[in-house]
Amino acid sequence: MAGSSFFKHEDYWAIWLGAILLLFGLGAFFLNPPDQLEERHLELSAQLKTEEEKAPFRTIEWYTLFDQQQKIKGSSEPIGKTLKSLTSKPGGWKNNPLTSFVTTHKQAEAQRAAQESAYQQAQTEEESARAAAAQAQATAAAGQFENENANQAAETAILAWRASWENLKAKQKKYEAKHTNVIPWLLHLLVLFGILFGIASWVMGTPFRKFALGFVSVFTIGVLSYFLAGQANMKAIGFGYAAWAIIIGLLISNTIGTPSWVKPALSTELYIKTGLVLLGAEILLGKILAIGLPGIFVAWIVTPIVLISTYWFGQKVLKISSKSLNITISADMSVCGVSAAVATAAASKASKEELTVAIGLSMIFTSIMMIVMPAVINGLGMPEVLGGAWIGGTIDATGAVVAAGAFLGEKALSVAATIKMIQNMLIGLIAFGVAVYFATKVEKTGQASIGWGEIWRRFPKFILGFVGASILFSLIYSGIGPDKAYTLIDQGVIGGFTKNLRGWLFCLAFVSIGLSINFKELKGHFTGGKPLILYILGQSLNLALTLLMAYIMFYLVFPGVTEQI
Amino acid sequence: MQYILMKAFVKLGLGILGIILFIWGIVPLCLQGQQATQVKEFIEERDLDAGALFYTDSPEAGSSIYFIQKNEIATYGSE
Repeated sequence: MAGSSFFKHEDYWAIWLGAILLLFGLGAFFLNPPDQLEERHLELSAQLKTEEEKAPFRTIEWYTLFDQQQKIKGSSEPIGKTLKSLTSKPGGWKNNPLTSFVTTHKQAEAQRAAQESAYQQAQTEEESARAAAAQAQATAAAGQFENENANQAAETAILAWRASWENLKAKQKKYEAKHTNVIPWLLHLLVLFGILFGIASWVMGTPFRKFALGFVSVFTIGVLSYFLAGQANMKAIGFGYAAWAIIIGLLISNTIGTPSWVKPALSTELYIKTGLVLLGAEILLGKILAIGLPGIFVAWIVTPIVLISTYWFGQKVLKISSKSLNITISADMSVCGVSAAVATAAASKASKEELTVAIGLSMIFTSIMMIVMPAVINGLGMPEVLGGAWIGGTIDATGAVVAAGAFLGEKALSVAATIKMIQNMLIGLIAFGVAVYFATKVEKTGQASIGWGEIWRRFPKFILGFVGASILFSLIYSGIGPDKAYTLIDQGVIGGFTKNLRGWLFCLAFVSIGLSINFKELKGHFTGGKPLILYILGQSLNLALTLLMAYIMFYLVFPGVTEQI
Repeated sequence: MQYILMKAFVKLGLGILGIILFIWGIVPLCLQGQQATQVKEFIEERDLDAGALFYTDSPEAGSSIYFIQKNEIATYGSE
């Protein structure tokens, strides 16, 4: 019966649960905004505009005002802090694993003492860089900002000051180490998720108690995954929680075996689809309008070409038997790694094993490219903007793009992060397109034509929640303006709440995948090395085409934009 | 039956040992190269989460993204 399918079907539950979390987040942050939010933003924006008109470069005062505006965050309010703590994960650690969960007062004091000299040195460097920048700026101002050389010298000195300021902030964060304990918050989150997903599972036919019992183990392994991903060496190579969740799950299921009482909680699809609905809210269409044209051309022309070419190659040349495996690998390599893999796998109804293969390939190559690409760019003497564009369009994970881009320089970071963000916008379109394609063409099974009813039946409904969340948040974002949206959405609903929840849900999904997979089934997908060949050849095309398009756009078609960066 | 269970636990133990070796043996070895060490130190100093899926956890990078948006709005918003 149509009515009951709204409460019996996983896809619909993903939409209900995603909607509950998103609407709760909107309510929590919009009803508790920072004091005098609008007035403060208006005043700072006006002052920023005045500063911009003063000089042909960003002055010290501009940066100071910008930093003040950046501090107006929804997540700094009491409700924001609570929600951020609720969704927080085990912290980073180097040699002492316990510090991932608890930092005692004594440890915090010891850390402060250890960081004191580095912090003081960073302070001294920042002060002298600031003084030099102020001097250079004053010289440029004395010439009414008409002397090119003086302006150039001032801009260089100010950028050098910003670099030392960033360094100071990083040292300050470690110097201001506080006593923390995430364990109570993890228990709260376990209860929250347990109740939400327990109710969903109960309505869909799994007894609540059975689900809850299994869920404790799944959540615990998720915590362990985040814990391992937080180790300093793992962070350096970008070996994240997704990889650990799958590895630990596989280790258990292929040695002692997944206990039968855990199995009722292995709701892979429900966790993934709910996470994808939350991800939809992060695809903010209005942001595209604020980003330069060159980046859009690089991201939105190269990505579909690489995706379709790689898929075609996999079907016609490599003859990969599984279309869903093919499209999942093609998407994760050409778009943005794990998020794209998850969305495309769900849209094409790929198996857990196929998703695991795609994610595994993506993670291995992300780690390699994150270190190799900056080295190649520096070695070739490539301009920063071009290098940044190349990194942004090719490295899969957004975090790895930022790390590699930042390593090259501020301009490279800006360009790399922008292009990656524009590329990420494609997830929704691609997931939707893949869903339609697979529902209408791939699942045809000999039928001459399929009616709309059949297409609707096959269509993965959670995509509607994904697209709906994107549209809703995009409308809100553009309706309230970029400054308020930064405070309440970027650093509020999404940055302070749903982004972390989405990470947790993906983590639970990957744990469930690992616990359900048999090595022999997984090995079968690697036969002939076809997935690896597909990834390498597709990524090679991606690298070549992205570099070409970045050069054309940033240096031939829009050289003016490149000068402004 | 007991033998099979013992074998399973031995495999599990070996797997855990493998993970420990990976974190404290193989990866530090791979990060010894000059370029790799520089990247590692850069990430450590800024506490970047290079494994983040979508939005980076780094406030610095987040501000850079917003910075770009502000710049673009300021430069092209009125056109």
